[in-house]
Amino acid sequence: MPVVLTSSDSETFTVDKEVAERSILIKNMIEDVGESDSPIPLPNVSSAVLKKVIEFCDHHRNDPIQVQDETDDPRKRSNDIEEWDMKFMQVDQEMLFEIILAANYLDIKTLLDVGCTTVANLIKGKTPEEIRKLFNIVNDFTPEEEAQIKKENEWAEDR
Amino acid sequence: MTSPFDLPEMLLYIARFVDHKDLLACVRVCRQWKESFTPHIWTTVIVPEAWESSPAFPPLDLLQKNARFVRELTLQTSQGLSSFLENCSSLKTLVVYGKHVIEPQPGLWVELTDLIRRNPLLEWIVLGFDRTSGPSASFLQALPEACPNLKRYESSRGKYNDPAQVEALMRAFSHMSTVSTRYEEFANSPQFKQWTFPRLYELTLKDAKGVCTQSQVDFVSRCPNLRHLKWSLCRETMMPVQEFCERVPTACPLLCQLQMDGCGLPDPDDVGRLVDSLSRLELLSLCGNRITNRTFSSLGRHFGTLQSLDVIDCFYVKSWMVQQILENCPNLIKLAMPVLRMRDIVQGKDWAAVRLRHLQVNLVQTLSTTMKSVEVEEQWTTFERLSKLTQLRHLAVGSRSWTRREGLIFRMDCGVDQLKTLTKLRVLDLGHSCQRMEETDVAWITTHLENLIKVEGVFYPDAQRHEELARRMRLLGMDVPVADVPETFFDNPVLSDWEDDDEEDDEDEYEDEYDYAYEEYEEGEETEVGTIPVPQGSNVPNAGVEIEDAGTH
Repeated sequence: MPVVLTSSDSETFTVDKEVAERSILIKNMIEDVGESDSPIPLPNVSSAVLKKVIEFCDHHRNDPIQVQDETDDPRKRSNDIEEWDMKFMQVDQEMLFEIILAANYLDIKTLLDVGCTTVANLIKGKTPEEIRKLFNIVNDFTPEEEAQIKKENEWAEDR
Repeated sequence: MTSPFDLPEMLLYIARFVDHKDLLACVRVCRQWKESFTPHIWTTVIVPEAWESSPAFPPLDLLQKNARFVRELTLQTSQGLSSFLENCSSLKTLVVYGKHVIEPQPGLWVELTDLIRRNPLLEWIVLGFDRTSGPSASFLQALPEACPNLKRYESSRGKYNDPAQVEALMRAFSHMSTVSTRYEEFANSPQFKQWTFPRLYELTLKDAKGVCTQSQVDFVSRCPNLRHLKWSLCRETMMPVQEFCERVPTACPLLCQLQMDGCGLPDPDDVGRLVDSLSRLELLSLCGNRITNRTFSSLGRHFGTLQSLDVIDCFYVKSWMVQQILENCPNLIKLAMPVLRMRDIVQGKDWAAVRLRHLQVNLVQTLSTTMKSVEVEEQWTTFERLSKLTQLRHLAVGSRSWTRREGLIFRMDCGVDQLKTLTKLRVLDLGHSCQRMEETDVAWITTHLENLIKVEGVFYPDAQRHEELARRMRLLGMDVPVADVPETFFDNPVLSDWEDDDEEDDEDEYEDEYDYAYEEYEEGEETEVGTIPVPQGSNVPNAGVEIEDAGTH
């Protein structure tokens, strides 16, 4: 039984139910509404992003569903991101952010985690100034605050 | 552009994926980032004994200010830390060991009891002693009420003189799902029959002094939901095999993971009896025991469910057994066995164990040096079989003694390039096998095994040449431990039992070797005395690692 999804720009996508249900949001919607032919509107996701999300869900259609676990710390798991996922995430920053936001909205934990790991890898080894530049973030610290944080971090710096 | 960084809850989530060292940069980016990333810096705190003089340890006022973010706390001392400890309220893991619990100051256990009362979220407690002291009875009594979420309790080398201590310990155990007690000493043996441990599914019971084997079987039999048992007895005590087989499988119908490292088993076929008694077997780990043909045929019944088999330090394990395991265990994740002759691989069937993540076996080539084509066939076929194990993370194929005997040769002309399918491989351990790598072979390994982070071994018999190749790998960011290249490899390796004809029952003539090796193992056991306790298991709280490693990331 296929499911029809509509993106924010009114494009429709027909996908297998098991692919669509990688999204907990969609899974719950289908359960609430019951079997229906009417398309599911996803007003927060553009067609370009939805296409990527569907590609991911299709590739992972047979993976076991991860249970949301507040206690698990991803740093304790080996952070080896699958080769396919890594290639999948080779997109520009805007798309990366869109995918993360869509994964959050659609509640697809594996995709969210792959996205966040990608962001963490972008941050790796960079100075605060390099991070600001990379993500276009404004430094809103006063010079006093900056000096204070630097001082607070001293104990950790030389390790 | 919309950014996930605009949403504080997304930022908090992303912070979970950022390394400790990078977190320190993140808190300096902007105010919002400081707020979101700061808690993650303080997730794990390890207080060293000399924290006051340690430059790598945060000043007390800062520690106190961020105490509420600490989830995993290790105390090698508690002295002078009251102001910090009083502000810790979100602990999930507490590790306590060191001089301060071995020679406790008055009031220490009162302070620790207060600490657990302030931390109802505690899930995991690890304690380490030195066989002269143990946790106070009132600390243990407080545990079940103060920490309803406490699921995991690990203690080593504690001494229990007071019946009230033992009583409180049993009551605490009855709430746990994972218990580990190692090298502990009981003045009064606990009366296990008065208790049940309904939540316990993983039990480590190692060298419990003062508890007779009968009582230990009682303990295990009072755990109706036990799945995983790690059990070993004090030396010179024999495993009550018959009693175990009669009572435990009935009392613990879910038991399917058995680790008995260095257990005294009176009869060579005892392992087989234990294996026969279980209705399902997923994990078997033994050390210093014999794997007889009878034992192996008992294992056969469990080939379908077996996920992990570690008998690398057992005796009489034959090469054909290894090949049969690989051919018949489709669910195997980890396999560690002594030796596999590549001849058996060539003559055998394809391997069914394609889900293997960890493989450790010394692969040896047929001794003849004249039949060149046979050697090449063995090398190619072995690489071909290995190339099907696409889930491999850890591959160790070398011998553990210095021998000139050829193992698997990591060279292009032997077929190493078939391993390009092993994209998930992280560790390659060539052991003491004698390699003769060229630069092109090293280049192939470093280019095609893209997730490889560590390579161990001797890459060339000549020390200088070896070091040159090792340096090349290190330059590419690979961890290559310094290897001692021996002056000479042994020319005449001692024939081992795997050399002999497969079906021959040759156990008696090895009796001496067995006794000798067993003694040696027992000696090794003693060296563990005095080591510090490290939480065991897959979810080790390794913030210590995070903090200590921060400089090397």
